[in-house]
Amino acid sequence: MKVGRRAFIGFVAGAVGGTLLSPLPWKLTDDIAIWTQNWSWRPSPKRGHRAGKQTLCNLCGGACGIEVDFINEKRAIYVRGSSVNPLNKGGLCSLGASAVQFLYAPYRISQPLKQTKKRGDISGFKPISWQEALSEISKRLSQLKQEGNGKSVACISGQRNSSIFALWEHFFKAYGSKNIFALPEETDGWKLASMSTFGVPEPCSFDLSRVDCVLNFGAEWADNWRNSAPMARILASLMKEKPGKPVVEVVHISSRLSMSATKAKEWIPVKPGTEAALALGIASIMVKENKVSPDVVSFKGFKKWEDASGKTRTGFKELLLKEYSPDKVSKITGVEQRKILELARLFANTPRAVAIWGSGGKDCPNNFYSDLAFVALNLIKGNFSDNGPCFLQSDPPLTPLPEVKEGWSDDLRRLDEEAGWFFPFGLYSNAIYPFLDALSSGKGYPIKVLFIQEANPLYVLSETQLVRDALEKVETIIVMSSFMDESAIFADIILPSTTMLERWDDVCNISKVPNPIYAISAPVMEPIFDVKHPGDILIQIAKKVDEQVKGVFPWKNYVDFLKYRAKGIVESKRGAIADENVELCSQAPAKPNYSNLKEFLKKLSKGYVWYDSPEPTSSRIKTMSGKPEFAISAFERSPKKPEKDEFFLPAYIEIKPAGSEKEYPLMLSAYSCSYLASSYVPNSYLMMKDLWDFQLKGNKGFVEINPVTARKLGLKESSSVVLKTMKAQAKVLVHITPSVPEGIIYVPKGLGHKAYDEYIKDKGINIGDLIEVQVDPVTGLGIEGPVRAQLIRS
Amino acid sequence: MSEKHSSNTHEEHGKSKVRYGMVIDLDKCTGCMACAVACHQENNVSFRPDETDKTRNIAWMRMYFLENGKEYPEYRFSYLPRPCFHCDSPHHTPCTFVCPVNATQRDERTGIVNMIYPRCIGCRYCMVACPYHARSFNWWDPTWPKPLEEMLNPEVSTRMRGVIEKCTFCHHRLNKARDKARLEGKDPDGVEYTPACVEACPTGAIVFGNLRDPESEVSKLAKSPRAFQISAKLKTYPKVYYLSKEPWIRKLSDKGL
Repeated sequence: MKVGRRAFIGFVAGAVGGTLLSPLPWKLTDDIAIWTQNWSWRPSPKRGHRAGKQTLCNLCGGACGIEVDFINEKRAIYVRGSSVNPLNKGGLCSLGASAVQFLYAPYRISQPLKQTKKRGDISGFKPISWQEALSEISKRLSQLKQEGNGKSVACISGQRNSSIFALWEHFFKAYGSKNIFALPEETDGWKLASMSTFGVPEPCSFDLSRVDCVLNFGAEWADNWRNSAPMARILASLMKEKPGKPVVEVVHISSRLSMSATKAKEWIPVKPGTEAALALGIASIMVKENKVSPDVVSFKGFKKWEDASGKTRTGFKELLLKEYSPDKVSKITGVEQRKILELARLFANTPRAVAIWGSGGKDCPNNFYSDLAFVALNLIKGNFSDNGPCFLQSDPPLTPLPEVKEGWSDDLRRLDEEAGWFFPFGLYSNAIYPFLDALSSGKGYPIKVLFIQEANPLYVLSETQLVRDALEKVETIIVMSSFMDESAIFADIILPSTTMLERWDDVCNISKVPNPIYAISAPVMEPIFDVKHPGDILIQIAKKVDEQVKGVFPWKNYVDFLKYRAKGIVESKRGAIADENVELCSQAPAKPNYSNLKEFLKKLSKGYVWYDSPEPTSSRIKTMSGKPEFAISAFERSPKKPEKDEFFLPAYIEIKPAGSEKEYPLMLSAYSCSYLASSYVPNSYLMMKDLWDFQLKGNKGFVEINPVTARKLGLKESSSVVLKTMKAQAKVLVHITPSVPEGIIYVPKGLGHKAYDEYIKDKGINIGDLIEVQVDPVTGLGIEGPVRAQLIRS
Repeated sequence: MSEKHSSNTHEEHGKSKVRYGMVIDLDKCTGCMACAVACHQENNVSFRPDETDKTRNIAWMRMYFLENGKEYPEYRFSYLPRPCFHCDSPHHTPCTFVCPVNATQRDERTGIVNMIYPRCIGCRYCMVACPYHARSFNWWDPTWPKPLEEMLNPEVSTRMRGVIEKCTFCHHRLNKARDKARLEGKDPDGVEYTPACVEACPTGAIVFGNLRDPESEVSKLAKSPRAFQISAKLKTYPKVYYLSKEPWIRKLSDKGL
């Protein structure tokens, strides 16, 4: 067939016209538009039914109710606060809101691993089976026990307020070692202050629901005063104007203008670390103006008193009037005398006024004497009387663990004691730094096996170098962790653990809340990897060590153990399960609203908590005199006792940092933020996203200094400097802010990880590397006071 | 119409009885950033190893830092969480006005300013037009390191490189609430629902609801003497109000973000 020119043009024109009339070009354009935006690498989440499951979040050791949203009951996608829980009442903190990011984190450990190369070399980890790992560990443990060397096994646990800590203690008691420690907390010191004043190691707690005035000595409730979400909710509600009621006077006393300080009605800036002196100054005025609670006069040590040896010693009243007069306190704290008087009168004249205190947002123990000073101020106000706002936090009536007949012998000593450390309150103390010091210096006896359970001490503890030196000396390090964190990298054997959403845990008591609390965090899904609960691992190991240890471990698994513990509450017929209408703190008696264990556990595993009304302090006191005591009686029985009378009483002790002022003209201190995680769980991906660009820029961290300090040093915003302390140095950028006082450098906690992945690793600096810890000579607790530092322009 | 203009801003769009809005109490906000984490988790907002360049990163709920400009110890600061303000200015918001492809529009039934990602051509006019920097641009393909893709929410599509994204007042939750109301035989208009940020806030600083309902908490709070809007002089009529008792914070509200 011959196609002519005309026919060809006609055909083409027809084809073009026809195509244009058809939907084809439009369909194609549409497809191209979609295609250009639908690259295969753009994830398209699988669809399905979305529904929530109730449980409890214990990521920070708290007990906030949560609801986890699932797609087709398989994929966890979102966490919201649950309103059935009286602690958080629906809200969350940024850590809790990130729970699913930890579940699916790429740095999770999916199977047991064994180090085959040098310790700390991440490429040396080879997978082993659970059976191999557990039998290797239990063989070693039974061998050590047979050799009579049980004391050479130690543990650092990151879960203090859970029954797993009790299980560890039980195991160590049966096995024959006293070397069990937890990550330090602010309340470690509070327990010992109560031990001294009330004769029981039960920390103070506060009923903030019915107060009219709060003197807040560095309790950074809006920054990180455990536990964040409930504390923020309780304190923020105080600030709310309620019709017909005066606004609660919240006065914040600290050296750095924290978020909590800026939220307070009034902020009183003091010289760093002198909050206790101001508390004593206020007490002194109350004594002078005769505004003390009448019963205080009869407390041991208030007036002149006689110690066990018959020596007459100065009383607290005399000490206050002599050493803490407004002019002296004004010199120590930098607060005007007029202001001190005003605060004292506000505190004394407001019927329900309470003093709360903290560690300035560091969540580490305070100096023993300053904790005593704050307790004393509340005592003088009469706050521990039966209708007062202060309580001792008693434990929930859990079933006691089976009695261990053999185990601890009388001559068994903790490593720090063996190495020559002595503390009057050492028996009750979580003396982790003296332990690490003894271990690193090779004093005492060697530690052959160290368990690290979800604690990450190589990051969380300060003086990282000391921790590293100590761990180097350990023969075998066994890390139970969900994540490849700094300590897991340093392990010889890693036993991967389940994350919060995949496991059973319980929470016994919430810091600062007066009610005994018991709560259960139930799993909402099956574990996504071949991982186990540390409690299950411990029970399995215990059963293999020997018959004696096996004999006191009657539980099949950890859930069985939790049921055993919870049974005690059900049998006690005390307390009640709280619903959203319950105001904790209120002293209304709780009537049991559960009948049996099954019902009790079912309710608790849905995010409800068990609570009891707080017990009046008078019923808890176990001192010799039967009353609270100002005098530190422990010294009387102690072979090492101070000479001066004032060391037997609550006092302000100035802690002098090491180093020369000439070489290190500035001071360095850490602080916490509510949006940065500085404990075992790291910052989540989305928490890193929200960080301020004056806290992290690229991989560079910042230090915060006052404009005056900056001018003196000739530094500008974002200047590059080297921060140097006696421990280490680090390259940082400068952020100039008037929120910090002159001459002090502040660095946030929670950055500078050396593990995990590129989203977290090497971002900013870990302040723990630079800080020196001072061991409190009375308690053995590590105090992270300000240290000397300098900034060098680079 | 001109008469109506001068009266209450939220009565412009006569037909609808619904104007979703938000009130954020800065006196209660402790800056814990739970709202931002919850928002970004719910809405599949992507993240990168380095998120510190705030002119390039994506944030639907972004924190702003306010200072009173004084020296220690008179210095004070506050955080200001900023979602999209879903401006209620007549006819158009600054962003919808400039969009050449109708990729962003205001739903006149609810007042929510939406984004239709596949329509967006990435010209970023809206980003420039928004006086509140509420819009972010996808400079890179969003990626989630394995197995984090498991946590993505199928109710919100992931975005692609080259498009704009912003807060939607958790619009997908509204759709769900409307569906539920229909099934229950109720009026789907004006249903109550809760965006992720509101749900997360531990101190109850964020309140959400229908500004046109005089009985709603949000409409009452919006009339509080502590209430203010950001850059009200621009007449964008934001549907996000802030509360503060601090005069210095209220003064800053006219300085923009």
